[in-house]
Amino acid sequence: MAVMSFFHNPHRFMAGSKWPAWGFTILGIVLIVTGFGIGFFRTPEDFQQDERARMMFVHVPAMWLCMFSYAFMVGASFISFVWRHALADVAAKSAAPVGAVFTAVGLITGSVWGYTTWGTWWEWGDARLVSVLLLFFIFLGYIAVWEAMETPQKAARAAAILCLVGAVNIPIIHFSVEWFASLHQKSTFMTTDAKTTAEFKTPMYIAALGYLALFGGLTLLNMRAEIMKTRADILLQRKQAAD
Amino acid sequence: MPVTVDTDYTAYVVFGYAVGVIGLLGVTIWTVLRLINAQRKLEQAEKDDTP
Repeated sequence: MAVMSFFHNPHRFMAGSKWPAWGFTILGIVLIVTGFGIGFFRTPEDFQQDERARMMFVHVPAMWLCMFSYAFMVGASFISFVWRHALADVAAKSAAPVGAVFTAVGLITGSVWGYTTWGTWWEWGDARLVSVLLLFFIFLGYIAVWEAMETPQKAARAAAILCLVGAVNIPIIHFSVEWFASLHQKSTFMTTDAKTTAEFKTPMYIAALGYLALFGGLTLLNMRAEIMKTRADILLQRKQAAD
Repeated sequence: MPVTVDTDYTAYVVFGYAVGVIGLLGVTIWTVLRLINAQRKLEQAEKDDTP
């Protein structure tokens, strides 16, 4: 609550967010390059999936972070809807393009990995694949709502409602492999009986931390751009009214 | 007739990594350009606003 109140003032946010925004972005890039590098060049071939297993270092963190991005947007939309926090809408709006790109990366790499493993690029009957595609469309719909409404206030309200309704898809994505018959394998990293070795876990966690830092950095940079643009629009409108 | 199974997956793996790199680099560059444009727009608006 104290942090929420502190950042209610956009000036305070602008003053305190510059270095964290760039710091997280650079940290994210460094960690992703390290994770991808170890994963591609140093990780041994898997005994079942041979070199195809190396795709997990790109695909799995993208899928984790696309769900995280959406959960972040749901939290921000809820805060905006209930407390009308000045920056909550900006935060949700700023996270959406980053989340959409993570989802697209997850979908494309998943499709390629699926083709080499299952022999098909896409399976419409698979709940995991279809629910992630739906998440991608929700991200696009959310971005479109912001552009389509007449005023930013109306857009923020409509986008927050869409985001909160779309939240039902997140548990469906997560549990789809448990609830429905699926080509997609069940969760192997987040279970207590996971047998994944450190050779695979290390680059995976480095890449995932990189995606997380990049998400934080890019969301903060997008928020800063959004605040500057709003401020510029207000000044231009004031000038036009005065002329 | 024997069925030939292609077991060389290098091209697929490289393509997967390329998608990841292009996607993440793309969204990073897009964000930075958006920030630069917003900064320019604000500077211009503040200059015009100065009496």
